Amino acid sequence: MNDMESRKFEDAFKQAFEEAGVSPSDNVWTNIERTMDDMESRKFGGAFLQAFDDAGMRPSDNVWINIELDLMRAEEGKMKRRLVFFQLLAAASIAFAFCIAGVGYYILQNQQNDANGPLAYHEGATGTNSNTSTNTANTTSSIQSADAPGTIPPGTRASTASAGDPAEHGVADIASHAATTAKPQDAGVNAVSSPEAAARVAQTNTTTAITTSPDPAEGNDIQYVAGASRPHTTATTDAGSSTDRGSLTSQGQTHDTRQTLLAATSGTAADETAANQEHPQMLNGVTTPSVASNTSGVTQQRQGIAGIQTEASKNNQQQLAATQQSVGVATPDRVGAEADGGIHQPSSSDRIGQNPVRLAQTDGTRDVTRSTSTTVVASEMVATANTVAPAGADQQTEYRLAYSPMPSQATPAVTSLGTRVQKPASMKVEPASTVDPLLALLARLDEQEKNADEKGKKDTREEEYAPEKLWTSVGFAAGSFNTINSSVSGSSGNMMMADARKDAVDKVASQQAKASGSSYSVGLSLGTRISSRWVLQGGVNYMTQASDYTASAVGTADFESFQAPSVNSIMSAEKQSMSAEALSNVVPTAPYNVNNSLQFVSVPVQAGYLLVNRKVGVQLNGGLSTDLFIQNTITPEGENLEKETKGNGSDSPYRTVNFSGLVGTELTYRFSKHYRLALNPGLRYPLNSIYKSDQPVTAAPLTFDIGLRFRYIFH
Amino acid sequence: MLNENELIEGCRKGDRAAQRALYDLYCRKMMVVCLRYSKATPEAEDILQEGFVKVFQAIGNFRGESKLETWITRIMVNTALNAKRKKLYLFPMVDIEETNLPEEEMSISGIHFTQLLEMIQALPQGCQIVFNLFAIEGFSHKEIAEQLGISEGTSKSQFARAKSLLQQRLLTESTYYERYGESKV
Repeated sequence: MNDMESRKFEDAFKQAFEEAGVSPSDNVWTNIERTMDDMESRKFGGAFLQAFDDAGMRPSDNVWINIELDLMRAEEGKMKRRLVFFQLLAAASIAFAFCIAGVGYYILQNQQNDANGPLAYHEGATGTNSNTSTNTANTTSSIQSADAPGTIPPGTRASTASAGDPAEHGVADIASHAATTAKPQDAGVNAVSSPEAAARVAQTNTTTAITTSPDPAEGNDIQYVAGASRPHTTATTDAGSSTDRGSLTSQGQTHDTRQTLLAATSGTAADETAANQEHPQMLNGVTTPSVASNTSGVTQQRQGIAGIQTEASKNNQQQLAATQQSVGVATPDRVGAEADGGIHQPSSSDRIGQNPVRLAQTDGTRDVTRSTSTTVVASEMVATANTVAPAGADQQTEYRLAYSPMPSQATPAVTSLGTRVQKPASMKVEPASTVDPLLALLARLDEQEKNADEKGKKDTREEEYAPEKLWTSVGFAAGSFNTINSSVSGSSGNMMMADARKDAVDKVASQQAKASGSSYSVGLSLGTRISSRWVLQGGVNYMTQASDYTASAVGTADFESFQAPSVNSIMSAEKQSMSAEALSNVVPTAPYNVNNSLQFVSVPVQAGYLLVNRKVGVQLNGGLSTDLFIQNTITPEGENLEKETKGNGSDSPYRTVNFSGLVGTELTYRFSKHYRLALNPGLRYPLNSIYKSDQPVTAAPLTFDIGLRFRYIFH
Repeated sequence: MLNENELIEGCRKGDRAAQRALYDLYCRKMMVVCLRYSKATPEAEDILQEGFVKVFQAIGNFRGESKLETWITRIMVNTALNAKRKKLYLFPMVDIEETNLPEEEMSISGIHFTQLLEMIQALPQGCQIVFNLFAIEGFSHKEIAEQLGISEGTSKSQFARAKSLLQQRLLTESTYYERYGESKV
C-alpha cells in the first residue's frame, strides 16, 4: 500500500513534467546558427589551409640584402640618436651650471664691493649709515659721480654732510643719478658665445641679458645688466667695433662694452682705471640656461677682463673657431661619411657643432680660423665645452672617405682643410686601395636614402616620446629686480613746495628710480604645441615686486598721524595741491627703512622652441606680458607711521597697463605620462616705464627670477 | 646546424649568421604567407622583407609561449595588414548582397597550392584579406572587423563573396579537368 501511494506521487510528478516546456531566449538559436555557419565556412577554408600547410616558395636574393641594409641602418640610427641626445643634455647641463655659477659669482662680487666701501647714499650726517650702503645699487654712479661737478669721488663716503643740511646732498645725489641716465642704455655684454645658440639669437633678434646679484632683504643689488632686445646682424662679426652695439659676441663685447661705457661716462683716466678695477664684473655676463654650450662665453669673459682686451677681438675668432673645431666634427654620421668634417653636415639645426662650422664659413674669418688655435683659453674651452671633443684639438690630420679618390687625384681644397676639420681619434681611416666594393656600394646606397629616412626617423622619434599637445601648469617664481633704465626729471617736487618737503620728495624719487628688490609671482598657465618644435603658452600670474628705500623725514598734517614720503606723494604739477596736504608739515627724522610693494596681475603670452624634447626637455621661451597694476603698499618701519595702500587710477603714479618683454628657458623632466616638472629661469623687462608718462620719475626694472612649474598634460 | 633556441639567442645578440639561418629556415613558408596577401611577387617580397626586419628587432620580446613559426607568421600577417591598410581606403569594403553559391562545394584536392594562390590573388582586395584572415589564419569575424575597422556583417559578406568566387573558379577548373583530362597548369 505504501509503495502504491509513493508511486502515485512519483507518477504525478512525471505527468506534470511530461508536457512541460519553457522557451529559451532567441539568442540561443542565433548562437547555434552562427556556430554551425562558422563550422561550415571553416570546412571550406580548412581545405585551403591544408593545401598551404607545407607550401613554400623561395624569395629572391635581394630580399636578404635589403633586410641586412635595413638592420644596419636601424643600428646606426640608434647610436646617432643616443649621441645627439647626450650631447644636448651635456650642453644644457653645462649652460645651467654656468648660469648658477655666474649668479653666485655676482653675489660674491657684490659682497666684496660692499666690504670695500662702495659709494653710499648719503642721508644726513650722523646716525646709521647702514642703509646708505643699500643705495649703491647704481654702480655706474661711482663713475658718473667722479665726473659730475660737486659729486663725491668714488670709493669714499660722504660723512661730512650734516644732519640739518640734506638739501645739498639731495641735489648732489639727484645730479649724480641724473648723470647716470646719460649712460647708454644698451651697453652690456651679450653672453651668447655658442655659435649655434648665437645663430638662433641672431634669428630671433634678441640678446640674452645678464642676471643680477640680488640681496633682496637689503636691496643691496648691483646692476650689471645688459641691454634689452636689439637686432643682431651676425653674432660673430664686428667684434672689434666699438660703435656697433647691435652685433656683439661675448668675447668682443668685453672690449666694446668697456669702450662704450667709458665713452658714455667720459671719465678721466683715473676714473676709468677705478671703474675697471672696481667693477670688472659689470662686463661679465651670465648666460641664460637657454644658451647651449655657453662655456666659451663665460670663460672668455673672465679672462677677457683679466687683461687681454686688446686681443679680444682676434681671440674671439680664434676661440670661436677652436670651439667650432672641437665641437663641430665630433659627431660624424657614420664611419667614412664626411670628408670635410662639417661643411656638408645635415641641415638639421638640432645637432651641436654643425652650425658653427657653417657660421665660421659665412663670417669671412677663414684666415683667422686657420691661424693659431693654441691659445690657453681655446684649450680650456675645448677641455670643458664638449666631452666628446677629441683630445688632440691642436692636431690637424687629413681625413678622407674610404672610397675617396687617391690623394694624387684629390683637389687641393680637399687636402688642406685647415684647422676646421679634425679627425676624431676614435675614427679609422682606411686607405683607398683596400676598400671593399660591397661596402662601398652599401655606403652609396645608404647615402642616397639618407635624406628621406632622416625625416621619417625624426617623425618616428618624436612619436616614440608621445608628443604633448595640450597642457596646463601651476607655478611660482622668485627672483629679484633691478632698475637699469631710470631717470628723475629735474626736481620731483613742485618749486612752490617748501624746501624740506621738496627734499624729502626728491630723495624718495631718486631712490625709487633706482629701486631694486625682490620679486615673487604665482600663476596658472596653459600651453599647446603648434608644430613639432614650437609651442605656445599663455596664462595669468599674480606678481609682487618689493623694494626698500630710506627716508629721513615724515610728513604730517596734524602732528598726530605721520606718513612716510613715497612715490605716491610725487604727483604731477596739477595735482600738487592734493598731495601737498599730506606733507604739509615735514619733520626730519633719523633715517628709517620704507618698503614699497607693487602688485600686478600679469598675462604672459610666450612662444617656446623645443631644443630637447624627451623625458628631459629644454625649451627656449620668448614673448610679451601684459602687466596690470593693482596697487602699491608703502610700509614704513616704525610704530607710529601709517601704512599706505594706493590702488591704480588717476591718483596713482604707476601706469595701470604696461607691457613687458619676456625671455627665458625651461628645463623640464617628464616623470609620468601626464606630469612634467619644469624649472624656469627667465627675464622680464618692461617696454615702458612703470610710472605714468606725466610723472617726473621713469624707471623700468629688469626682473630675473627662477620659477618652478608643475605641468599636467591633457594629451 | 643550430637548433631553434640557439638561433633565437644568436638573433637576440644581433649575430648576422644566426639571423641569416633563421631567415633561411622560414623564408619559404613566410613567402607563401605574404603571397596570399598580395597581388604580385614584388609586393610580397616587400612585405617579407619588412616582416623579417621586425622579427629580428622584436626577437628579444619572444617569450616562447607559442611556436616560433606561429609568432613569425603573426608578424608577417600584421605587416601585410599594415601595408594593405593604407590602401584599403581605395577599396572600401561594404556589405555585399547574398550571392548564389554553387549547390555543391567543390573539392580542392589535387589542385596545386600555386593555383590556389593564383585564385586567392585574383580575389578583390577586401575579399582576399578577409578570406585569408578567416579561412586560413583562423580569426573570427568579430576580430577581423576590429582589425580592419569594418563591421562584422561586412566581414561576413566579404568572406561569403570570396568563397563564392573561389568556388566558381574551382568549378571552372574542374570542368576544364573533366573536359581535357588534366589540370590547367
